[in-house]
Amino acid sequence: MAATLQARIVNAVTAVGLRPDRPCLLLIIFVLTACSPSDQVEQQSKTAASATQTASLVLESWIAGGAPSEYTSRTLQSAGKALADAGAQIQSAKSPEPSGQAGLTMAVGRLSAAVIRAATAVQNGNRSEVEHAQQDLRAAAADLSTSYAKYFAPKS
Amino acid sequence: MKKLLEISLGVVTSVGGFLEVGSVATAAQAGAAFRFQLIWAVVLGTFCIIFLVEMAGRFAAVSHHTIADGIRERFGFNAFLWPLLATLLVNFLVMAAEIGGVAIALELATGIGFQWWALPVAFLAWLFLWKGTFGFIEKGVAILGLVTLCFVVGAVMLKPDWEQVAAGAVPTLPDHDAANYWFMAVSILGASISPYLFMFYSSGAIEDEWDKSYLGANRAIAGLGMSFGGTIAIGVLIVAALVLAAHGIEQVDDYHQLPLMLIPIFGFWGFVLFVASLGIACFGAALEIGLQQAYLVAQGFGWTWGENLKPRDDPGFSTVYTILLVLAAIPIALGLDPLKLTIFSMALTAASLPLTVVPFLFLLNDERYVGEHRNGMIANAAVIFIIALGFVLAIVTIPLQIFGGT
Amino acid sequence: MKLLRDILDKQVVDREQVKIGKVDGLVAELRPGEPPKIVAVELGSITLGRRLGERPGRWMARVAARLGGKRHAEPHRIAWNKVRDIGVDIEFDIDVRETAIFDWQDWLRDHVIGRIPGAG
Repeated sequence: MAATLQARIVNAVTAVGLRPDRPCLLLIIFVLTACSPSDQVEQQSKTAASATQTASLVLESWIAGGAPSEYTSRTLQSAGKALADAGAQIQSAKSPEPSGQAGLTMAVGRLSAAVIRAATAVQNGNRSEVEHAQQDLRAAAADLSTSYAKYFAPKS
Repeated sequence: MKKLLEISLGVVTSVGGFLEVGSVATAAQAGAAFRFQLIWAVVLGTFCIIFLVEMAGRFAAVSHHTIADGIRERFGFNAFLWPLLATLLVNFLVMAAEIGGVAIALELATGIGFQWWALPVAFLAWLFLWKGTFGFIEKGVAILGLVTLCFVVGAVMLKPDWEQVAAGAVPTLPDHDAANYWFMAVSILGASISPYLFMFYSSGAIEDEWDKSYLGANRAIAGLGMSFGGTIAIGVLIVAALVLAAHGIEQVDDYHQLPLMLIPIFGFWGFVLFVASLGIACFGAALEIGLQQAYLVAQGFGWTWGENLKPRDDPGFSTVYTILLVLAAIPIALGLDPLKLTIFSMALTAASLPLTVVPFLFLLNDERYVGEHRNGMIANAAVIFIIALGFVLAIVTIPLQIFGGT
Repeated sequence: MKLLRDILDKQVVDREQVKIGKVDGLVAELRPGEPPKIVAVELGSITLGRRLGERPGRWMARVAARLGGKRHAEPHRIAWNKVRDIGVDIEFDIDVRETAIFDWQDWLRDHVIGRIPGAG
């Protein structure tokens, strides 16, 4: 969608006889698209994915003995909070596609819960609980990418 | 032999000065979000700071003026006021960011929240400035700062595709998140071209009583030292790309994510190395910025200055760094996110560069100060080009970053 | 000699090579038919304020008088005939301790800096 919009602007600008400088043009496009609801959903989904990967990397490191517990638990709490924020933003976006949006919101909610659970488990040094949370996290992450793919799939 | 020792010491010192919270944070973000694509910004920034540091040393050695002295004398007080105010503001923000960097390192090490560390860190830095001598601070920062080489070791151990790394040194257009890409380029430029670095260097040259016989050493120190610093920053970027981005972590907006760069490579020692690198590099930078702020004000108003004097003998000088440290600790103590503050200050640094660098270029082309050791055309053109680039990008992207969408 | 270019804003040192300030202003005598003759240099915040404009000058003079008493209501002046040497710095044949120029630094030393342990 961004690509077609870009093409349209390039055409429009060249039509008035200006030769657009590409970086500038990209910036203009960014401003124009930044506030659209589907972009907000996309942006927040990406943030959620990044936070999820952070959580899973720090968990792996903790299990391998590389990351100290205190640090791991703090990082997980922080990632959990980022996920909760992203979830709230996805939920409140005025998306043209309420069903896909609900799927995303749910997936991010599950992720957030799993990460917070892992944080508590790490704090208590409960290894089996951590591994449980890790499985939850993996399942929810898979959920997120399916919902994401569905949401942004080309519509007929 | 003595010169050789001095050169190697100078090189090590510049490494310590180059790498601080700004270069670590911006390189980590860039590597995570765009892999090797922003290496060119580090290269360009390093290139520019080499020229500027060399000029600062040459100016001090030939004219026996520091940059602040020179700007005031050549352009008068009223014109001097603008770079003075801009630098004071930027130094304040960067100082707060560095205190934040040390505070994060301490939080990671102890589990006690970073905001509790702001005042103790500021106090410790103040104590070093209060009791230390110039040589002690310079050399101490330098030698401990070598721990940051762990990023280069890590980068090499990850066996990156060097062809791709080299390709990143050539500027290209991004295929996603364009605004973010250019904003990161600005922050990297701001982090590499720190005005405090070359102004500090010129004061150091005066403190060490350089004369024309140091011109060769100066060139070697500037070139080698800053290249080393740039290499470490590229090391951080490569590690971020190959560890964070490879694990799907494309947004580094939480400082907790930073140690994850080294843990997968070195295990628990990676965590320790990261904490040590961040803490030492930022603490060293905080000392240098504190000194630089005091140098700048004292030189601008003609007071007695020098880190080798006792505070009793230069009360104005010591008052400036004391006030700066107290003020800069406040935002962090109030819990302002150090990572956000860092990125913002780096972009603002880039925007402020014309105010400090342009008058400086005039001095380096003025025969009354540097005689036959004037700038060459290439040096002038390169610096003007890079500064203009940083400025334009900053003016366009900072508002976008603050108001635009995300 | 171009006075404004070569003298103004230069570093001033006393006969002990103590840095005491910059040449913040020049006092010149206008002579009909001849170039103006420099009679003194001025140092201090009031002169700097005046360089920024009339209002900052008046404002700075009021602040200085309030903080430092009558002695500080006017800028510090050093007579031009005390010049000893003009190089990187301008050296005057005075002793800064006999002037009021460093009063504020002395105050700072005695009341703040000197009271902190380890000030030397």
